[in-house]
This record gives sequence, C-alpha cells and structure tokens, in this order.
Amino acid sequence: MVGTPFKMKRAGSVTRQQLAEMIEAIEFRRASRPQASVPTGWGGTATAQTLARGVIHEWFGLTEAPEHFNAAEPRGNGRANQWSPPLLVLTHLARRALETVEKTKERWVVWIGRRVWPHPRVLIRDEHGPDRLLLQQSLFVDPPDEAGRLWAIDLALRCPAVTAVVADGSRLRMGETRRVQLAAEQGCSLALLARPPWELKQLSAAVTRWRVLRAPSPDSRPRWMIELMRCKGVQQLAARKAVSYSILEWDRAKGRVRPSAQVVDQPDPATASPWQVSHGAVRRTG
Amino acid sequence: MVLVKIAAARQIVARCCERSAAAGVREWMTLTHARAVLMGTPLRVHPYDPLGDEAALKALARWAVRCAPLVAPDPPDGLLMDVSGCRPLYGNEQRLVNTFADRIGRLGFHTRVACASTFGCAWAVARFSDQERSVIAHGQEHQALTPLPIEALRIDEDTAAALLEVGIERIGHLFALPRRELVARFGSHLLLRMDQATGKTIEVIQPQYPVEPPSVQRVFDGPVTQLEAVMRTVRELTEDLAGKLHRLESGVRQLDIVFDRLDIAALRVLITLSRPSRDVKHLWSLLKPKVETIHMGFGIERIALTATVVGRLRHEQIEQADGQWRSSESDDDAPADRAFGELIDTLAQRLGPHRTVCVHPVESHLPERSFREHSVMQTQRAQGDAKQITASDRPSILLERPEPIDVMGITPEGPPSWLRWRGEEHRIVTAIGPERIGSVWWSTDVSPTYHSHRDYFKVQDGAGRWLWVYREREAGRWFAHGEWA
Repeated sequence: MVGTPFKMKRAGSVTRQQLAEMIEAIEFRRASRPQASVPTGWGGTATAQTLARGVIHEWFGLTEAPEHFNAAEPRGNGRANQWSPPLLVLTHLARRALETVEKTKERWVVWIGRRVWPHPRVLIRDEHGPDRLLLQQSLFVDPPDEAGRLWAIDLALRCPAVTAVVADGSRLRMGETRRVQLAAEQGCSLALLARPPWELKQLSAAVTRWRVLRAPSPDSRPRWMIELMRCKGVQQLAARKAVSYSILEWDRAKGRVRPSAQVVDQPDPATASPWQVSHGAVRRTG
Repeated sequence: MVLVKIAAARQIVARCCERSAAAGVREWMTLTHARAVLMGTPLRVHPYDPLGDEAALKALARWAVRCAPLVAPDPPDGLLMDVSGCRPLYGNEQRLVNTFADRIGRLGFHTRVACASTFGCAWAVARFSDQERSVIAHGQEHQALTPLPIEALRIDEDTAAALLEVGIERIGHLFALPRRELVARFGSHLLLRMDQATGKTIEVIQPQYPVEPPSVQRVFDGPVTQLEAVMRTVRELTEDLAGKLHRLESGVRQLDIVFDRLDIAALRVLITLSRPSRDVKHLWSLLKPKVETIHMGFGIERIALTATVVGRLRHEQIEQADGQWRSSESDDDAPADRAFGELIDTLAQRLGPHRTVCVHPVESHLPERSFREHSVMQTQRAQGDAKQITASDRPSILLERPEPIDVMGITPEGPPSWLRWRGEEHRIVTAIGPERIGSVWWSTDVSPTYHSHRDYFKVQDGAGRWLWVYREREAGRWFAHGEWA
C-alpha cells in the first residue's frame, strides 16, 4: 500500500520544492522516501545549501591554493596514489544525511574503499558528551579491486536502509558513473564519491562536482575552500563565468564543517581583496 | 588461577583453582589478600562470568547426552544424569562411571562422579566422599550417607547453621533423630531432602532435550552430473527449508549444505547470515554462486540442507488486496532492516567477512589501537565498547604505519619549523603541542614501536595542510602519523 507522503493542511501552504517532491513521490511511488535533499548547513549559494539524494555528488581531493594547481597535470611524479580525499567534509555530509532520516527507521552510512575510511574518532561528536551515532551506524567495506568496488557501490546505493554512501570514486569511467547514477536514482541515499584532483576533467554523470582546496588557518581549525565546479540544471554559473567559493572550517566539538567564522563575521567584506565576501560565500572579483 | 568479581569497588575472589586453594586462597578473599597469601607466585586473574559458566554447563549437558538419555544441568558445577537402562551397554555401573569420567576428562575437566539409585545420594557422595569415582549399590544409600556432613543433603545455609548449633554435624545424626521433631524444628524441606537421598521420595530432574536443527534432503536415484538438475534441486530444497522455518517462526543464521558425491568425499558448503532470514530469494542469491562452482566429481547422490544455527523471526502479517491474500511485506516494500541484513550478507559473501566490518572503540590510549574492526557477521562483539574515549584532537586520516620524516626545529624538543615528508618540503607556520602519549611498558607482546614515549604535534604548513607528527623521545626520530583532510 502506498501511503500519502505529504499531507497538505491548507491550499497554498506548499512551497515549490515540496510540490516537486510530492510529484516525484507520486511518480516513482516513493512513499517511504526520506527528505529528498540533505541540508549542508553551509548557507551561501543556493546550490551549496542542500545536496539532493538519489544523485551523485563528486568531491575532488585536497589540493593547494587554486593558482598553484593545474588540474590537467597529475599530481606527483609516479606518486599518483598519494592524494587525500576530503574526509572531514564527507563526514559532515554523512552526519547531516543521517540526521535528516527519522530515528525510528533503519539508517546506515556505508564507507566503500579503505581510502575513504576516516579515523573513527572523527565520527564521534563531543558536543554534549560523546555521541557515537555515526560510528555505530557506519559500515566499512574494503573491496579488493575496482570491479568489486563498483559492485559494492551499486549494491549499497540500491539498499533502502542506507542513507548515505561515501565511496572512493577514483578511476571511474563515464559508463561506470552512469551505472552508479542509475543505482543512486533507484535508491534514496546521498551518493558521495571522492575522486583525486587530477580526474577533474574526466567525463562523469555526476550532478554536482566539488573541488576542495586547502586554505591557511589562523587558529587550530583546519580550513578549506570548496568550489562548485559543475551543477547540472544550473546555468547561472556558466553564464556569468563566475567562480564561487565557500570557506569552511572543521568544528571538532560539534563534529561538523561550518562556514568559517572569520569570513562570516568580517565587518567590511569589500576589504577582503581579491575575494568578495557575501554570507560566507567568497567570489573572486579580480 | 583465580576468577574475580567486583563487589563494593573491590576485586573479590569468586573461584580459585586447586593449587591456589592449597596455598591458602579462599573464596570471598580480596584479590590483594590472595596475592599476599601466594607470596609472589605468579597468579592468572580472569573475570568471573556466571552467565558464561551456565551456558557452558548447558552445552556440556548437551554433550553428555551421548552417555545417558536424560541429562540435566545442576548449576553451578554439576550434571544430573538418569542412567536407567544403560547398564547393559557398559556391563556394570563401575565401568559406566569410569567411561564417562574418562571421556569428560579428555575435554579438560576434572570430575568427581558417583552413581547411586537416587539423585540425592549420588550428589552427596560425588561431592563429599573421599573417592573421586563411587558406585553405591541399591539399598546401600543409608550406609553411604551416614558419615557425610549435613551439607551433603543440599539444604540451605540457615538450616545447616541451625543444625550445627545443636551439634548435628553428620547425616547419620539426623537419621538417629525422630522425624516428627525434625519437621517441627527445621521445617519439612530437610525431611524432603533426606527422603530424596534415601529414595523414599521420587526426585524429578529437568533434562536437556537435544533439538534437531531444521533439515531437508533429497536422495537421487543415481549419481547426477547435470548442473541444472543440481541447482534446481537446491532451489527447491531451499523453498522446503524456508517453509519449515516459517512453521517454526524462525530464520536461518547458518546454512550447511552437504553434497554426497560418488566415490569421493562429501562436499560441504557453509553460508553465514548476519540476521535470521527465510527469504528464498535472498538465500538463493547467496547459494547460487557457491553451487555454480562446486566440483561434482563422478556425480552427486544426495543433497542435504541443514539450518545449523537459527534465530527467531516473527511471522509476517498478510493482507487481502485485489481479492488475493498476500504478505504485507512485498519485495518492493521490504523492511529496511531486512534489506540491510541482505546487503551485509551479499557483501560479506562476495568480499569476505573481514572486508565488511564495523568499528568499535576499545580501551587503549594508543591512537592506532584505540579502535578495533569486527566483522558484521559476529552476533556479539568480543569486548564491549570502551566507555572512555580520548577527548584530544585526532586527524581524519591516520596512517597505518607512521612514516619517517626529516625535520628542522629551533629547539631540540620543540616543534619542527620545517619538515620533509614523501619528498615534499613543508614550512611550518603553526604548531600545537606536544601531546605526550606513553609507551606500553606493561606488555611484552606488542611491537617495539610501542615501547617508546611519543610527543605529538599538530602542525600546519604555509599552504594550510595540517599534519600530525611525533617525535620518539628515546630515539629522537620524527614520524608523520596523520593528516586532517
């Protein structure tokens, strides 16, 4: 029996996004589907506020400042395996995905590929005593080869009890990302693929592609600039040819990645030359 | 060796071995007292686990069914066996006692065995007689019980203390007293125990009955060499087994498939599931890859499926839709927990249980040993989660093995101001620390790297890369151990 996913109390009280989710639920009979998007808690640009479930989001590994980075050039001489996936950002997103699912339901986060297994201590939040929910609801999978990894990603994405899949997406070709995208569409989980920075120009079926850049931090909190490289269905970025960044930092006590307090609280954004700051999002003007 | 339990924040000896008992260790002694009594003799200390002991006793009772038809566990450390009718198998009772004591001794247990016509008499003689193996002939119970202390009657401590107060120390003293007065002074329970021991009253035990695991099998008319026939048979047997499990309201946790082959040894395939299941589709998805690759030899004569481990599984609610009765849990709307169990099973079946793991914290101050992986197929974790977790900052990437680095620093014991790791040079602009992590000085079964103190620093280079580096205090060598990424 397919239940009514949303109850409309009053005509006209439904937002456009809720209406789209209702139509999608009716079309695909996804009565038990959780919230269709995961709020990132980052504010800034609209595309960075939420990440949609059921589609692929690619996160490219950490590199230095953008002016020093050439995406076409593989990193390292013969050390192509040495790259760091943005694990703290992915951990934050996995936690947000877990928090948006009802507590009564079975909900799991699957980490596929040993490279994207974070140290378990960062999965424990210390805000009000140790909160081990994310650690207890995490399943770690270590496929021996690329075929096994692709198969495991496909399988995990189709499972209705999995709320987020964080996987090593290195060396995935276009056809393979299409297969992953189809699996993600069938399931209802947040699909996060970590890829090395030198695969930025490879074709992919991902809906959004994000690049994470290291940023110097004046205090003890690691800091990054995230850059939305591609978002299917959003034409504005390409039309304006603008580069949009958000500066984020790791809040260890709360176990989340948040917009950098220094950027948000800066009294005069115009002084941050050559970056123009607006609600935590930084836009290069020069 | 002693087993200890915690009582009022003290470690109390709950059980002790013969050697420590001979040296003067007694139950209810504190562990410190026991160590003092042993005067430096090495002592192995383990936690007392009464529930584990009870489960082991039940398992031993199931094992002992091979010696007697009815066996009942008698906690905390005894077995009551009804050997009626077993005498012709062994010749006489003494041989029966010897056979049983020898067989159970080979399992590593030290036993005291007595055979009598009543359970009460056998219980008393086994525990309080001078001999380890005794046989009391029918009619000799009174004589055998007379010299034994009154504790041999299985009476409570208060009654025993009351009897000792009036000078009644042996069972023989009780036999000499009038029965009417015993009931008036010490209650009817004492008389019941005396009558049970002498055979005037019947005593009933609650034996453990072996439970046959659900099993289905098919014997072919002749050896079958066609893979299609074998696969179809296994599929049908799986459906039959699922039907049996449905009637038992349970699901399979471990499935044992035996292929009896012509002229060569039988082939056994074992399937383990994370959660009980009787879903034919799921079981077949696990079985099919195994069956497809079996070596049939000269042909298969018999196939048997046995659910060696089963778990309770609730019945499914059915509902009427479109005039037909069907399960409310259709494939399209399977419960999430069942779906996740199937995901785990499928992953573990293909990748192996050691590649599909969960992680839990353990009691260790070393960063690389503070969490332990365990297979999701384990029903229970080997050890419980550590309650205390370090509050210190830890990197998101912890290297499996610390990697040596070259450093330069202003002070010898201070943080580095420059380092080279993996061929790249980093100028350090921020350093936080040191956080000193001590060695594992009390253990000898760990790697030598754990036998040195470490001073950890969280450092940031000019590009914003945060690394976790440490210096070995004894050797002065530097290593990179992690990264905040």
